Amino acid sequence: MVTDADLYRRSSQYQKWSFTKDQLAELLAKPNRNVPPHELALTVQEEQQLILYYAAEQVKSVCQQFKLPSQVRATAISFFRKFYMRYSVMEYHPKLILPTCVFFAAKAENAFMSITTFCDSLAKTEPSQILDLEFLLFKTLEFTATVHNGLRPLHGFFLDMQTVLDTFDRTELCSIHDKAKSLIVDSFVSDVCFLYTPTQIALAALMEVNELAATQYMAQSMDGPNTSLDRLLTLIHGCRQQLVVNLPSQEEVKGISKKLSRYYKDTGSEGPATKKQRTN
Amino acid sequence: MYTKDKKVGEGTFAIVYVGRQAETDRKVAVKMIKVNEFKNGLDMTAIREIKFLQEMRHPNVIELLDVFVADGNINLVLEFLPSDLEMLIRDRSVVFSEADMKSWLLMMLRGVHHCHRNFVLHRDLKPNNMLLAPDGQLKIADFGLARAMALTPYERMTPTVVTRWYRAPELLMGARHYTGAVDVWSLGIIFAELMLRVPYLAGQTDEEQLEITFKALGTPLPSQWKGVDALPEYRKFSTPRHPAPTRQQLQELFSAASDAALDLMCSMIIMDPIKRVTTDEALLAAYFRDAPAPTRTTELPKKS
Repeated sequence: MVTDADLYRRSSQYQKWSFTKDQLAELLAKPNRNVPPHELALTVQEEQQLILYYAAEQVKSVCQQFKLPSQVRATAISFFRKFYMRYSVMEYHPKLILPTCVFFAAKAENAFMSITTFCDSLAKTEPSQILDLEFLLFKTLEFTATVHNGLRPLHGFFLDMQTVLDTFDRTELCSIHDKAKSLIVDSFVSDVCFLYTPTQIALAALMEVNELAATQYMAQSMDGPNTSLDRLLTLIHGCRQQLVVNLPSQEEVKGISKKLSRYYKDTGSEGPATKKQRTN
Repeated sequence: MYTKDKKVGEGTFAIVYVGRQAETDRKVAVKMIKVNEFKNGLDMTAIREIKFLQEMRHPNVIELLDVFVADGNINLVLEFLPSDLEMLIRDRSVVFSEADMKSWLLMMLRGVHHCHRNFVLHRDLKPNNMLLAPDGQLKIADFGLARAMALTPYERMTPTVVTRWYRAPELLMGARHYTGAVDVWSLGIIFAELMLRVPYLAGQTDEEQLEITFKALGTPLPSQWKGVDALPEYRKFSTPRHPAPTRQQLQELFSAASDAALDLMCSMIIMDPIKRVTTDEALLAAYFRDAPAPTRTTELPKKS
């Protein structure tokens, strides 16, 4: 008998893009080490801050501009973060990788728009720049484009909670669901998607939004002879603590961006992301 | 590494070669995706195909063995499957027994059940997408139109999917939200075609397809299918009203079909998608428990 958990373990998300905490830390730091030493080179810390900022604020603003569904935003952030597990922002500037991720995520999630429509509305972005990077992006993703997110399990929990929890009325549960939904989409910026399953993330989001409802629901429907509620709760709490990330301040971002521009200028790169694919 | 020995087909977004895996000498199909020919970058069809095949691993779904890049093109390495169900259906020298048809339907249902369990709609099931391995295994191919199931009924979906003859009535009437029931309909129609050996509902245009469907199976009424009158194309086709066929009429048309076979087919092509069986239910149908048992895959008829 193949269980749903077995199915998830066969997904590319689990096989290729799920890690332990240590593995993830190593992956995030590695691209920075591959860049030749330079006095203006960004530190791992600075790179991560910049990536976080782009993943959170910039993806959101581009997605809002084109009224793209939250599923596309979640997938775009996931693609963006995966790209920078292989390359440094000093190799490919996030300014161009970001719209490429949104454009490609829109295709992968059935929300296609033409490249001209897309670029016409974005300042300083040429169709050729994005189309050149699209292939590199897909290759860097190891040709996997399925991003499972917590929205599907959340929807299941939401339906289930309406029958299990009689202490909360439907309006309350709707509001819990809506808040948890936006939390799940925002959580793609954090590391949880590389460390936990979509179901665990959905539960952690419910816990963050309304601890009482989540705890009651879990106690009533997930405790049994074959499951350990305590163990599950510990796991969910671990996930919850990493769900929301602190974004760098505007000043910090400005400082890092400036440094990155000077790095590009000084190393003689003609501009962001015009360099050819690295061969190794 | 792989060799590309012979070009066997060319579509809008790919060229297919027969080749071999160098280490094992295994025969494979290499599908080379055209990368630089499209104004909007990588083709959606190609992205979907790769995206879904990467996730689907099942004995009744074509296996993606590898993806590699050569000369800036994406190459998909797929298992080599020399024939398909359409070739067999058209080959009048091959006789199908009830047990053979049961075996093929079972494999189709298992493959589609796996897709639906993974929240994937295939949206283009038809006999020539049912490929046959040399050992008789049936493998569902071509995920170029596939998509994830909608999360909520509010997500708008395009109704212009599935090859016309296998297109469910809700799609023909322009539904903007639909479920795995569209794939079940296609399988029901393929099942009918296995029995008839000719396409069951073969319309020449989309409009004619809906007419033929209603003529064969009855015009659905809002009292039988709640909300059907709200579908965009319903009004145009609601008159003249065709009566549903009687059991006797169906028995005459499908003269060799057992009662259990007819029951299962009818449950797969119920007009109202909510009442149509799911793949889980279809797999539990009496048809699969009744004698004769499905033919073993290695003993299934092959193209002459």
